[in-house]
Amino acid sequence: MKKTISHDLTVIIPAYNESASIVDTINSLKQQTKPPKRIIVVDDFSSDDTGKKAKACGVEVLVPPQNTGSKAGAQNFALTHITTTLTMALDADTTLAPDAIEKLLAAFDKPNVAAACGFVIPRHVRTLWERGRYIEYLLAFTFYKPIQEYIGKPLISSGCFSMYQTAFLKEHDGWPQRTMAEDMDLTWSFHQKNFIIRFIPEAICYPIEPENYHFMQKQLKRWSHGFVQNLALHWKDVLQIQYLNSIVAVSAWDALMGALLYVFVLPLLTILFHNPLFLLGYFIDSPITFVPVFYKGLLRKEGIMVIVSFPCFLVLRIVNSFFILEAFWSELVLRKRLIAYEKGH
Amino acid sequence: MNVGLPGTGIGGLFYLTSVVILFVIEALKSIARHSSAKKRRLIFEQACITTAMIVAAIGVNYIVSTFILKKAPIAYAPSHNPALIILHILQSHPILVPVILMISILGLTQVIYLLFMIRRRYSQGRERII
Repeated sequence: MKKTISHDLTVIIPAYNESASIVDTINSLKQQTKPPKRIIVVDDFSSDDTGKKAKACGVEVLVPPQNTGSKAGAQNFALTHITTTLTMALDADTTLAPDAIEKLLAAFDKPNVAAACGFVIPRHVRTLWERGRYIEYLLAFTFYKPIQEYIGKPLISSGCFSMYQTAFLKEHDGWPQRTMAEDMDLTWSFHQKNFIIRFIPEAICYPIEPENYHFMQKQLKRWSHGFVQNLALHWKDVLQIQYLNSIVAVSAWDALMGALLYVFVLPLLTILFHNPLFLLGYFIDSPITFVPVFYKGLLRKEGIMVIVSFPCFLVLRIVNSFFILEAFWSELVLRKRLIAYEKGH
Repeated sequence: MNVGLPGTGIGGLFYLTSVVILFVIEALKSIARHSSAKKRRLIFEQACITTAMIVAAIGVNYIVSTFILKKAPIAYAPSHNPALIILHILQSHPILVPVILMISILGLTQVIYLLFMIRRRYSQGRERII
């Protein structure tokens, strides 16, 4: 059956030293039920053969005059070359389910839909860190995100795999580079303009998640600082958007208070009262959070993987606490912004 | 991306409460025939997940209050110390702590929202007069 080319879609793949994964990413695009009209790889001054491999796959490769310094910078460089109605940003380490683009395209059924994102599942679930991230995503994309979608206020259109109306992107001067979390910044800016953001759970992508602590800590640092930077930047505007203000308020509270609880309160109480029962606080909510995760795991025929991976999520959560506290302290108290973009793999 | 500490505190409770409210709204919309099949499916699925989570929460609450906190028996005599009564209630129903926290955070958010709205309307009114 001849595949319909989506004439209205360009995919941007920002890439810096992604030679290990770029071919898989490009192939997953070519195998889509609705392949895009153009695929542009932005070879952001890679020191490996990312650009060569991408060219060998027959896609356009753009090289900026110098390293752009961030994923957003690379994407913005490509944005000036785009003439299609829709633009998709896809990470160079992310592959798609064969019908992912087709599912996302269906989200743009109204003229003020600015962005649409899909379900994210780690491609590899082997190490402690990948397993922890796997459970985190299952929880967020099975429970939180569908409710945000119902209300019309998805918190973030994930940077690894999202589709946008090109005109709105260009009006906004592309992906903002003022924070470490350009996807969150862009999504909240779109919400402020009353644009629609959609979450389509049937559109599935598979990014490569950090497999060891060395890369995980870079990603956690970037995400934590990005969250706090966006809070500082958008808090007044977000407070004026009903429901989004509540989502952000509880997220910020949980991020800060949960981190304080894990890092300081529970250990201190245990030591002060010589009572190990306080350590229950680290996993007392496990039966509750296990429910949506196990449900989704059963649907995906991954029930055993969920059971085995769940303890890793509890570990990742504790590790994450340190980075969130460091981010709040550094950004809000010391006024020391994180500006260096470091990849998570 | 998924920042924050999923499952740690009031966030999960917030979403549970949202589903309960949205279930009622969707049920009313269905009666009034303003609902779509897709939204009904979504809310039904979330409601099933929420029900199972609430059952798990009740179970955890029971186990913690009965076997771990081992609440001391207390007589509800009118002269008894209110602080002790409150402590007894919290020991019996520890879930009340995050519930009260959540209501406080959301309440504060709404108060700030209203203040912003009032200020915006006030400055728009002044601009019209000028």
